Formats: sequence, C-alpha cells, structure tokens
Amino acid sequence: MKAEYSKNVFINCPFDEMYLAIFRAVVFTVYDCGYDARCALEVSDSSEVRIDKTLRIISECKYGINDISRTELDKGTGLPRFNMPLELGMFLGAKRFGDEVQREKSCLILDKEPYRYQGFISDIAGQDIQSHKNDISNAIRIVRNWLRSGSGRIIIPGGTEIIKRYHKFISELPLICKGLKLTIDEMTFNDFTDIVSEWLKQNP
Amino acid sequence: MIKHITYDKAKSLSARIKSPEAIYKAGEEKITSQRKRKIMTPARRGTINRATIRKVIKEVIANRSTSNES
Repeated sequence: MKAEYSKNVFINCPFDEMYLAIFRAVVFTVYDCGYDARCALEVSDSSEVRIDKTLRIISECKYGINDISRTELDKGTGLPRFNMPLELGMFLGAKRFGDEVQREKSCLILDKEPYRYQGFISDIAGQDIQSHKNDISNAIRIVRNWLRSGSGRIIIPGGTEIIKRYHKFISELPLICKGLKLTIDEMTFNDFTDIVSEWLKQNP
Repeated sequence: MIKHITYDKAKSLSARIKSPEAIYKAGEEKITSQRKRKIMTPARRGTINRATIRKVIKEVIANRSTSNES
C-alpha cells in the first residue's frame, strides 16, 4: 500500500459540464507527471456509502488536489455548494490526526480568483491557495509545479511540454473514442484514465 | 603554505569528479534529467479492455504520421 500511496493523487473537484475541461486537463497532468489520479467517480458501487468511499480514497492518497472554485450559490436552492470544502476538510483532518503515513499528506488548493476563499472559508488562510482563473493552461502549470516541488522528482516534464501534449491528446480523443465505439459523453472516469495512461505510454 | 595545501586539495578533487556526460558515457549512472518518468497504469479498470485501447491508439498514431506526410 505504501508504494501506491505515494503515487496516488486524490482529485476533489466539481464534476459538472462547465468544469469538465479543467478536470480532464488536471487528470492528464497527474498521469504525465507519473502519478495515478483517484476520485469519487472511480467507484460505481452503490452499496458503499458516499462519504465512506471518499474517506477510503483519501486514506489511499498521499497527494490531494482540492478545487474550491465552484463553491457558489446554487441557482435552484440559493444555498452554497459545499462538497468540495467538506472533502478538503476531510483531507486536512486525515493529515492532522492520521497515523505516520497519513501525516505525509500534501495538498494543493485551487480557486478561480485569488483571496476569494476568504469570503467563505477563511480558516484555510495561511495555506498556499492558487488561482487558475478558469484557464486550462494555468491549471496544468500549477498542478505540474506543485507535484514537482512536492515530490522532489526532477524527471517531471515542464508545464509548456505538458500543455502541448494535452492539446495533442484532446485533438485525438474523438478519433480514439470512435475507434472504441464510444462517444465522449459515454466515457467513464476509469475509461478516461485508461485512455490517458495508454496514450502517454505511446507518446512519451 | 596554506595556499599551497588548498591548491593541492582542489586539484585532487577535480581529478576525482567526473562530468555528468563522462559518467553517462561510462555507463556508471544515467544523467537524472535524461531519465524518463514511469507512466502509471490506473489501479481501477474501465469498461473497455486495455489491449483494445492500446490497439486503437496505435492506429490513431499510425494515421497521424500518414496524414502528416500527405
């Protein structure tokens, strides 16, 4: 477990259509840096309670990417969407109260604007919160630089190289899906990670 | 006298330290920055066989080079 733990990156982010482009870019970056992306979408077992599933995945990941950029009022209910800050809290709690392995955890907090978090989750002030400004290239660079400095691995490619490769991958994704007799919308998270991993192995 | 000792020590060190290229050529150790990172295979499986995904990606890459030539 220890070996996998240090290569697992928990991705805590929105799963809506508007965020999908950034989500895919972040997942791609994680694999291009030599890590395995994990998130709640990887399990479809309805018998596992959602919060248990999230806690189990968090416990299996040394690294965590927490994007709180969609913490905003829901148009229907008028209430804020708080799943991402809750899961960030679980990650920080595991790091603070967990065993020796859990205390090795490292996390990246992303938001769309600098200092916006102070309006709804000011207790995380003092942590390094980075702003991607809803831009794919920014998100790729931030994730890459964080994994590079957090892991100390110097064999991670540069941000510009990853961005270039990501655009090439995205341009070929429709063809790959067509070859697999699958529409892009039908692709599950596990399908996507399998495709990313295989594509990167053949485009090193 | 002190200067003479410092000079000798530096000379001795420089004789022992090899450049990264010399080390690489000698096959003793690869230059770290030239190593390739290992791409992880996801621990969980998707709904499609990985061998099929591999085959399709190879075909897309093959077509890519064909279309670049034309």
